[in-house]
Amino acid sequence: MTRYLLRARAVGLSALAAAAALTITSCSTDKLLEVQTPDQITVDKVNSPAGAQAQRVAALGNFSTFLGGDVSGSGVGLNVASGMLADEIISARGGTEHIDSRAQNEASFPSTAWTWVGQTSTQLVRAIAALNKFPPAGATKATQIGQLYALQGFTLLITAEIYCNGVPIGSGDDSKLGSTTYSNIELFTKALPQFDSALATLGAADVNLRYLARVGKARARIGLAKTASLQADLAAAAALVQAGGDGPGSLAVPTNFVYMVEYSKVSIVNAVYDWMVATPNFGPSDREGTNGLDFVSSRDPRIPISRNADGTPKVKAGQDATPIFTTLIYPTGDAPLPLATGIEARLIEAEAALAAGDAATYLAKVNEPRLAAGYLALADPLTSAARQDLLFRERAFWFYLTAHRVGDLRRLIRVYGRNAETVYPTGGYFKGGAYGTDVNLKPSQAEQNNPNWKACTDRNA
Amino acid sequence: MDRNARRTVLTSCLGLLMVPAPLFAYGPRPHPSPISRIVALAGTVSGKVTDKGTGEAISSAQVLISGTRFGALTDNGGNFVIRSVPAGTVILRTVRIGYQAQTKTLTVSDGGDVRADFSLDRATALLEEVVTTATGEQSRRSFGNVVATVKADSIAQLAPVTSVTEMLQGRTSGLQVIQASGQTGASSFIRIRGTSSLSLSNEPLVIVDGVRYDNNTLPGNFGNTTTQRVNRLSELNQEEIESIDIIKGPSAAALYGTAAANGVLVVKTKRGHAGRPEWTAFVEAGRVSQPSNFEANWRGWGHNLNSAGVPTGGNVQCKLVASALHQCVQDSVTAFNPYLAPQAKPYHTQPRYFEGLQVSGGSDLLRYFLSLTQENETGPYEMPGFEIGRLTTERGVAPRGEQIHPNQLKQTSARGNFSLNLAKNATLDVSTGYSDRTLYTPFDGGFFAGMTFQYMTAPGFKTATNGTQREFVGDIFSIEQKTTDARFTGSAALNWTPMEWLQLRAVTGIDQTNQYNYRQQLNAEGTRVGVAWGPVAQEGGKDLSRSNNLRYSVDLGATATRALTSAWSSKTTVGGQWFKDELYQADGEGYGLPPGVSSPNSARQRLAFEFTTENAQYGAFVDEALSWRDRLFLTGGVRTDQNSAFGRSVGSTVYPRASASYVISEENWFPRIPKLNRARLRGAWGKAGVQPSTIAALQFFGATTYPLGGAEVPGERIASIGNFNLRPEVTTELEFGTDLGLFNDRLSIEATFFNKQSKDALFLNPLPPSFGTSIGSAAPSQWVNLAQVRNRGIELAIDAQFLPAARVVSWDLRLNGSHINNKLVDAGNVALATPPGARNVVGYPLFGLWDKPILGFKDANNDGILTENEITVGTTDAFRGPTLPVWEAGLTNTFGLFNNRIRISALLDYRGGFYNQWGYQNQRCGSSGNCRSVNDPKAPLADQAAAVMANSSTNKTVWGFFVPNDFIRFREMSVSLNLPERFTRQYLRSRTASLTLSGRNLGVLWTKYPGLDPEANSSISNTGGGNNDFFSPPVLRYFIARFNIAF
Repeated sequence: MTRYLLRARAVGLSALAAAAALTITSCSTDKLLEVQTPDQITVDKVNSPAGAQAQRVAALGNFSTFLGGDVSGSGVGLNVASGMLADEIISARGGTEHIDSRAQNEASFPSTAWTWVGQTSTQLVRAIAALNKFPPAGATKATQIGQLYALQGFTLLITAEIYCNGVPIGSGDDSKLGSTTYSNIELFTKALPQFDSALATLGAADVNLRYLARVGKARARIGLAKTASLQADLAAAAALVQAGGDGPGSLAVPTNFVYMVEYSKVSIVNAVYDWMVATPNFGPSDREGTNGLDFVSSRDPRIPISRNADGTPKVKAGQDATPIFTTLIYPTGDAPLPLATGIEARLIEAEAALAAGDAATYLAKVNEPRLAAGYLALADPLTSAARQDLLFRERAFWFYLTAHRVGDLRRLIRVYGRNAETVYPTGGYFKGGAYGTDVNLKPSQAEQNNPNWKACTDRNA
Repeated sequence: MDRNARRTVLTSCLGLLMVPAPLFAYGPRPHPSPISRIVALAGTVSGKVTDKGTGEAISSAQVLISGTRFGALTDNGGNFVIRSVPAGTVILRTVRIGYQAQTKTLTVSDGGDVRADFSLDRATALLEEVVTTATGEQSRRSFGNVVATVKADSIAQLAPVTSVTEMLQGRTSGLQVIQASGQTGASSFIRIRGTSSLSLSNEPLVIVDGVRYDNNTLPGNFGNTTTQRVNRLSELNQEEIESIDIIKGPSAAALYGTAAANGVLVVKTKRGHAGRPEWTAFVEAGRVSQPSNFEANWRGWGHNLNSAGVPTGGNVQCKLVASALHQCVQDSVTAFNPYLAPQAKPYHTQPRYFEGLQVSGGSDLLRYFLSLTQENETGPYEMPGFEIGRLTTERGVAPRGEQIHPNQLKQTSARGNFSLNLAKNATLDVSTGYSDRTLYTPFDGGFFAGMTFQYMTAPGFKTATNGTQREFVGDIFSIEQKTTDARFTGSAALNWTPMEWLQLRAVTGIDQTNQYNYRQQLNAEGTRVGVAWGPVAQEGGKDLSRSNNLRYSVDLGATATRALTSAWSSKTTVGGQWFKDELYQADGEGYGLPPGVSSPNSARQRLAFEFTTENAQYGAFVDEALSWRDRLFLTGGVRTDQNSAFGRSVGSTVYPRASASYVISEENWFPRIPKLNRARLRGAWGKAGVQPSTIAALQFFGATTYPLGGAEVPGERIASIGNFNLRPEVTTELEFGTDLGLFNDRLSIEATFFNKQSKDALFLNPLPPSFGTSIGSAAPSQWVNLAQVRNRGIELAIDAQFLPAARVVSWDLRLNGSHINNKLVDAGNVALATPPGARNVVGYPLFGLWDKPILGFKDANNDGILTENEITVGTTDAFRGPTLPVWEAGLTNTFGLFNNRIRISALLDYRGGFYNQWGYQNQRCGSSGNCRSVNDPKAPLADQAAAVMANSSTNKTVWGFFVPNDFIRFREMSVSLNLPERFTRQYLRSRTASLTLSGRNLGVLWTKYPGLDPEANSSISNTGGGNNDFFSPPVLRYFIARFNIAF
């Protein structure tokens, strides 16, 4: 005979009781869909003074990545990307030949460099808006907002120096996503009021941040300089860093001034260290493509190279087996990267003097930082072209891997009438094939998802 | 009025009071006729229905008086009573899905009791088999879709498999198992009827004993996550499975709703039968090996030429291109294969053991199935003796066991399934499964210091590290990657039949995994150059993750059946479900460990992370199935779902379905076609969905630390822009086909056409980077409903018994195959990424291969070396081919000898019509420059052309490495011997015993693919597609001996 645990009626009563309990507990369908998302920081959670400070920190950090590296090591900053395009470094990493050989494939690594243009420019807008909404007490407000304005100016001008004409810049308004397309000149022009806003916002005590804004503004002015009005344009730029450039009685930006962008061994690792010292992805160039400078063989102390006891540079196999050298200019992951310096102020003055035909001032300004650093003074090369070469060589060595070089090479073409094939690496590419014709970078392929942008207006210098 | 008549009247009245007409009921139905007429001619029929094989009572069998609406369902004791049966001669028919129908002719006298017992045979005809769907069990004949059933137990007996996916491989048309890479513990991937989703999982939903079973890749796994993935399905023990029903597409899976668009695998584990305990035990012992010898690395040597063309300087590398450009003159070529070099050889054949003990039995009150198994497999990686010696000298102690054998799998599985007869009309099935797994994997994947890179990109000579790029294999293997999982899956299913016409069910269950995994290298161990994965050189470091993963399932349902007329019957099912998935994860990392320390507590640099992921869903369905004379079945149903992941502005999602099944051969008018004994036509249409992640619709910020003032300071920025209008991806499918039985079902044919289209396909739409709405280096993106993907195809399955099983020699053949045409129909005007290689282009298959085509080449100067100007390349990108098979087929031949005492089975697996990216050769010929075609002037010109253009700095194309991938693999072969019964009883004291010898992945019989293994594919994952063999070792070969004994 079949046995059972319960009588049928007991089962029925139990089931009905369970069904009743279930009905009561599940009467709210919202409860059935209730989930926790503690990792997600909703917009309302950052709508506060503390949230504004956190957005400011992110803006500063994003600028670090924009210029010099990525937190995860999956991307490089504009200093490395543009250094590859120029003659500063060579690629020992498979897949980056396109940019190293001046034939950029916008779909390939390191396309993330462009991502950081958008990340940084929009975050600076958000952070400034947040600080204006929740202003810090006292002078901190002026310092913090002024600093962000100055960095926004640098973001725009560096983008103008390195990228093609006609690039989109996001609005930073997340309620209405969009972008506006700017030519290089428009970007340089757009940078100027950012520096003006910085100077207007910063207090008098923020002298170093004021120097930062003044050097930045001068750099933007240089970017706007035209051949026809070169002397005046450069003079106007130089005036910004000279005594009186920040109003009556203001001091010149001192030669030993330096504004460092921070990195760390933990979060945002200096990409030059991460990709050129810790791992052999890139190496410093030496006379790359005929026109490249002798960054290694010159033994210039401004670009320290790992060397053997006999002074010859150590050679190691790159990631793709390319023999490369190692630069120790940023020997650790937390090595800071100079964004603006008094040296740049002096060299801007030198360039202005050169344009004005004042060879003595030109040479004095070129040598001032050298002498301050304990290097030998340089002799006047006598000809105008040679003086230009010397000036831009000094800039190349002083500003090695600081995202200046492409802007300088483009100015040599655009303003000084040089041919691209006389300043950029050219001829046979050392891994095979020949160098292309790129003189600037173009936004990554993902930017083509922008309904208002499809391509650069032009790729001219 | 006699007693029976009074009872009938009472029953009828109660029925009228309790159950408003029209109700679903067998038996006396309210009728306008005078009651006296019924009473005057009625009798009672009662009896018991049992299983002929086991003698067990069969519950829920339908016992019907043919030509009437009188009938009853058996209770848990198999008993039935039909009252008020019209007096006279009646035909009693008993039907139970899974059994052959049986009829008896009875004479019922007025007021008399007639007893009729049935002893049913289990169904052998395909149409009578049971399939399990969202509405419960039903016969195959009533289901308008093709449903494949893999009888796991019989496969395991005949040809031991090492995973659930191996059970499915090559045995079901339309289901592709994309082979795991050649590493013990690595998972295969499943695609049913193609790839539908651009951005979400394309894996089927897995349900085990009514509970949703997690089949995601392991979270926080520090193994080779990008190339050798581990899916959770691999934790399911194949020995515990009775059968797997494969519900292929939305037209069949609509009632499973959101998450079922990729099909459903309904897994039933074994259950006990009443009777004395039956013990079964098995032991497997086998060998695991890496069959490939890999390829040698090459290097051309020579001297540089000065401007006068005169050799100068010492011996240097001289590639063909440089030689052709007269930059150097080549004087020799060397080749070296570190995979075969004794001091670096990483592969050695290793053992596999698998043993288990199972018992089932019980009484009519409680039936049980208990199982305990233990699996031990050592992957074919082994530190060479030279390296063991070197490290022993260096460390003062020998390397640890997991460093010498860095790929090991140990899994203990236990299962207890219980079936309880709660009452005459109620059963409770409790299923519990527990597994404990430990998996070690070698350091590999995309890491430069990992094994594949170090071996494949090395120069063609014996380097200082014995032929590898720069790291000793002993140091690579000293980086430990370990995953441990403890997983419990349990369900309780209550089936209650309060009234004969009404069945209620309630299933609740949980699938829970506690996981701990890490990657670590102790101080003074591991790779030596730079940052391999986190720590600098040998400073020591550890990444770790602990997670708790839970999946709750609640499934309530009710099915009402009734005979509408003597020809029509109805089955109405309503159901409601609630699911919740939870993942709680805590990760940590520490770099710079003191000597002897294996935790990050004292590390130089420490970081901690916490992640929470929850998703909830509820839904309900109603399904109406009409049956006409048990040969025509019309079904319509609709399901509605709401999910926590859908946008705030979106209401419930509705998934309708409809199907028809017509066993047309049972019609009297159906013409007699010689040898055709069965024909069924079927068609179905339906929708199912795939849900986005919980946070896909949200706008939220992200937080991380940034360097500020010399410290790490937390900052926040927008991380996702969100989309409040997000809806689930909905896939609509139409399928129709026919099932034919010929020669008394000795030849069965299933043919199916399907057309499946994902609309509103969820797409992680790339936003322009200038919008700046992401955190980190990834370009911003936004989940949107954009794309449309179509999969259209045909499926064919043929089962043939050429020689009846009863004879001395039998021969069964199964051939299944499919053709799938996949196409991205629309991407919503989004500019999709255009990387060289796998990309998505509207009008073409997902993840197809694209680049500039190499149109031709000619060695114009007859120097035997191609240069760029001797190769013609197209100016625009072209489509080379799909990366997933267009054609697939499996052919299984099983021969039985001496009344099946000896069985020999072989499975051949074919895939065709697709291409591989040949990534490892692209790497070697491109960046690494160590393949033959860039170094050896004797290399074929076609290979040279591919290499030259892959290295071009101005006109680069990797077209030459898009290679056909078609192949036929000798998947498995087994020989099974059932020992004579007399022998087993006398010498083994057992009922049965068998011995099986089997081999798996025995070889590639034919292929167009020129590389190491046509199944090597590291780019496929749960979500993605593509076919790239880089970092994916060739599949492993197994030889296994298994002994089964039952007593």
